[in-house]
Amino acid sequence: MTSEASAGVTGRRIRSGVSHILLILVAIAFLGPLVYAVSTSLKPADEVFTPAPHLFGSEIRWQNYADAFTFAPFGRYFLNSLFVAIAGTLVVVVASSMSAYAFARLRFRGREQLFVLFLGTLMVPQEVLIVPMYWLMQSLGWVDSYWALILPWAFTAFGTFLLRQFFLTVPAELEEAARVDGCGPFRSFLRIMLPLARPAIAVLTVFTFISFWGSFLWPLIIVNSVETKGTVPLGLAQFSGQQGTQWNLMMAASIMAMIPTVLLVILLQKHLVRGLLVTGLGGR
Amino acid sequence: MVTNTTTVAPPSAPPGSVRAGRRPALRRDGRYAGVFLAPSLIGLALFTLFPTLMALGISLFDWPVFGERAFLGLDNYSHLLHDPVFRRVVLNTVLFVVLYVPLNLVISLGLALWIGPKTKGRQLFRVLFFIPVMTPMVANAMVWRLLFQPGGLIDSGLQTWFGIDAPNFLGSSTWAMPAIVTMSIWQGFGYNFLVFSAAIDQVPQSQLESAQIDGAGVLQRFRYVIWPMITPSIFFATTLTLITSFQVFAQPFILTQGGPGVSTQTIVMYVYNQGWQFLTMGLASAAGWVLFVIIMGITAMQFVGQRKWVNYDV
Amino acid sequence: MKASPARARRWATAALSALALTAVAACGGGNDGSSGGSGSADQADLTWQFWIGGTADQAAWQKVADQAHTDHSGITVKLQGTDWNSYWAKIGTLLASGKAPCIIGMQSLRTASYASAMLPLDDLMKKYNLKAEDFDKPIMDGLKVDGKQIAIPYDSGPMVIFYNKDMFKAAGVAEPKPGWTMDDFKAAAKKLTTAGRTGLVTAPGDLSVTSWVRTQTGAEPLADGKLALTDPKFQEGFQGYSDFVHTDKIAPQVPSGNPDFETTQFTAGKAAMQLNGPWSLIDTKGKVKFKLGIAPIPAGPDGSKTYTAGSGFGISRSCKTPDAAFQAIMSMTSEKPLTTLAAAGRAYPARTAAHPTWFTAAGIDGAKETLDYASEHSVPLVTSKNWVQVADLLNRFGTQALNGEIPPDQALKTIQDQASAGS
Repeated sequence: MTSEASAGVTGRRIRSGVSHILLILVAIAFLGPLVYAVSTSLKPADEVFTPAPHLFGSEIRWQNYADAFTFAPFGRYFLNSLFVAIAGTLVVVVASSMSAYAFARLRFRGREQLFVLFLGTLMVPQEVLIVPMYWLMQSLGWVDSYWALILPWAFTAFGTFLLRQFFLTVPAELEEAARVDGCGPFRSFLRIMLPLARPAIAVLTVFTFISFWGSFLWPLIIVNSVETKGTVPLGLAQFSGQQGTQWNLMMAASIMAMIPTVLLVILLQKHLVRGLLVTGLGGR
Repeated sequence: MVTNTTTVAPPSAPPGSVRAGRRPALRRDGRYAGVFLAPSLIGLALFTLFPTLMALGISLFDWPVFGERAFLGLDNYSHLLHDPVFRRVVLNTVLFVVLYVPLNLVISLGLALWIGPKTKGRQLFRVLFFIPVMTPMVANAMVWRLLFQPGGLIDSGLQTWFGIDAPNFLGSSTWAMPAIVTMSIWQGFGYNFLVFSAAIDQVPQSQLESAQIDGAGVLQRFRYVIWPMITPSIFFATTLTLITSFQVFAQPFILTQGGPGVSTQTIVMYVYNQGWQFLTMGLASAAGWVLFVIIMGITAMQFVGQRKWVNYDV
Repeated sequence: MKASPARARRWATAALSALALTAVAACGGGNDGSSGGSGSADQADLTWQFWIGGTADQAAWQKVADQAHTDHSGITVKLQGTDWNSYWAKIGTLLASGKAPCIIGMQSLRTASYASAMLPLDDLMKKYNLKAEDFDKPIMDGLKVDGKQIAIPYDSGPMVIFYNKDMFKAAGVAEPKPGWTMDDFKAAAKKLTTAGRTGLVTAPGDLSVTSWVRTQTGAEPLADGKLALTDPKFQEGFQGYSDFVHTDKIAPQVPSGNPDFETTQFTAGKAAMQLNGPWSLIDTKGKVKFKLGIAPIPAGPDGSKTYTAGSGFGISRSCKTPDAAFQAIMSMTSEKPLTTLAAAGRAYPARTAAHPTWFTAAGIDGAKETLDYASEHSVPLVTSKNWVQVADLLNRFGTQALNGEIPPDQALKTIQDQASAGS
């Protein structure tokens, strides 16, 4: 290697090293607020607010986590939230991928107008729709039921939009070739498009799961038997009472509430990371 | 090959050419489209269309939560349009959007580019930066209030290190909105960050490498190789972030309740207050529909404008 | 060729119309104004909506509900809980659906807003011989609207001053006693405002603001049932109140809309005094590292004046078995459950007979003296139908007044205008 080239390589290494360190610092600064949440979760109740902020109290109360978990039936809440989030995400992914495919690949009259209408459903704030939706649930007999937690908000255009954008970037030649071979739209969808779309579907899965997991207003309104059908956000809200809030326990519970979503993100990492390595077109 | 979003089919190009226009045969996809669209359409018709239309209906009434209802026609709407408080609320919302959206996009894109395919520990960083998205809002409320309030972490920090007092972020009409924007960005940028990361990962390494060998610098590689390939995601992120930021509610609700004065009250907060606190649902619905019209207008502009910069050419 | 989207649209329209008809039928119920059938007075399965936080809380209140079953074996009361902050959003939807639970938790400040959805209880009180004299008068009156009793109280409390005994001792300030004046208070607060701490911390909540105004000038927020915030006496009192922060500087600047700021500053030991109600006393005691004391609100030229607030149980208009519901409520507010609640520190009981238990549980010197004095000098805070809106405006614009962003009388004028306009 020429000396210039090796100098270039060293220069690049130094730059990437510095950039790396900077990145770590940014990440730490970023997570600062969370550090404070964790430190609060480990403090005794009478040390949460002190005249001067401290990172650690007089003791590190791991007990807070156990206390938080038993403060309300969180075991049940976690199960409910998991069930609702998983079921809801499944519905969303299936329905969205199919409609996204229609909007991206199939040609039919009124396609663009219908898509804009679809998108319109995202633009009405949920707060306006909740009471009519409640009446709908009443007439269906779904008040205080799991159906009501899963289905009503599972058909927004968010997933369709996300996946459509992605589908549009997949080269049409891939399916073209399959069509010529007699492959119909269904097989084309299942065998070609979906596997290629794994990163986008992974992203949609994560977003939808988070949306269901963190949903508060709707479960608040539709669930009456909170002890049996309550979700995690409903549980977290209970730490604030008429007399005040139990901050240390609430922080502990909040951190525990994050675990499933963090696990999901870690699990789907390899799909979120580069998915499309080979497009099958050679020379790309 | 061009996959554009118009319905008009341009004349077919000669076969064999890679950059052909529409596919040669005009296929009848209508039937298939029906099947593919069925789950979403049925779900939407059942669960979204009905409440939406009912909400529209309610907006035409004086509809207290309990008590007598009266048909008002468009009176709710005219009340809103003439109400200086509502106008201020709309302005606040626009201010939030103008501050939040560009910052969000720049930060998420910047970080996604920074944590490129070659960065060590890339997966860990991605999870780390995504964590704020996963924090429950109640936890965020406490932490950020503590950061911002008089005597809070920022105030104490400034006093200890610089000997000056921090402004009363959440109690000052000038600082409250920027404080809310800051917290919103911290909490929300992870979404676009992930979308952009996935999109950037799609860019073939081979193309980037060959561009590098050809002498293209970082900026040029971004502009000529990466950017064209990620425009569809950027379009998605921009459009969606615009739509959701107009609907901002949780952050001002937990940080300032819309105060001081009316400086941080947003449209959806107004809807929530009118419908759930003051129990006048007719007015709340009308405000929600005004918001809908605003968002629809902006999104329509996005879609019209996308031809100029979004590139579905792969 | 029939395009499938069009067909789908036709089905959608049909489904929609069908649903619309059903839903209109379902929601059209609303409120028929009458109690809808008497049902059996002694046999009913009742539901009770209330604010609950956590399993322990649920158990404690279920015990209260079980008292109804103990007294009337045919009546069962099932408790449905909502967290405190979300309770009103939830109850609003339930009442709008026309199928609300029979028994509803109600707070004195919101009674006027919800009165039209609740059943007046006076006839039932006569029928079942519930004696109003057994309860604290201020709270009994506080749960009345237009002279009609809307709820039977379980807890009550005058606003009093919580103070940090350790801080007083360290600053060499004499502890407050019933009869202390605004001048005493300000002098004490000034001495306590040193070294990054303040004598007082206050946030513009409705109870706080109105209590401070009333003790200084005697003015009340409503006159003849109408909002009178621009009345000169009220303005004078409000000016004095906001002076605490930006002129006297005995209280810190406040962040907007932050209900915990006041409490957390006090419990952290950054402020020596706070205005609060007895409902928070025992909880606060558990959260602080210092010795806690309570004192009545300082006396203005006309004496010490404060407000009482509290909560109770009412019956929704759509209840089909109001007699059974009322009997359940009688059981739930009888001496035994209220005494149990008092012993657990959950509520300063509305029944005079249960007070001693609470004082024992509280274990704070001079608590009885203070609370008796304060109760004597308090009236219920009578609120208007749009009080929730007034409180919200007071919160937001009061913050500006306290922080010195706008003059106090301008804040009051804005609140008065916007509340009256219904915006």
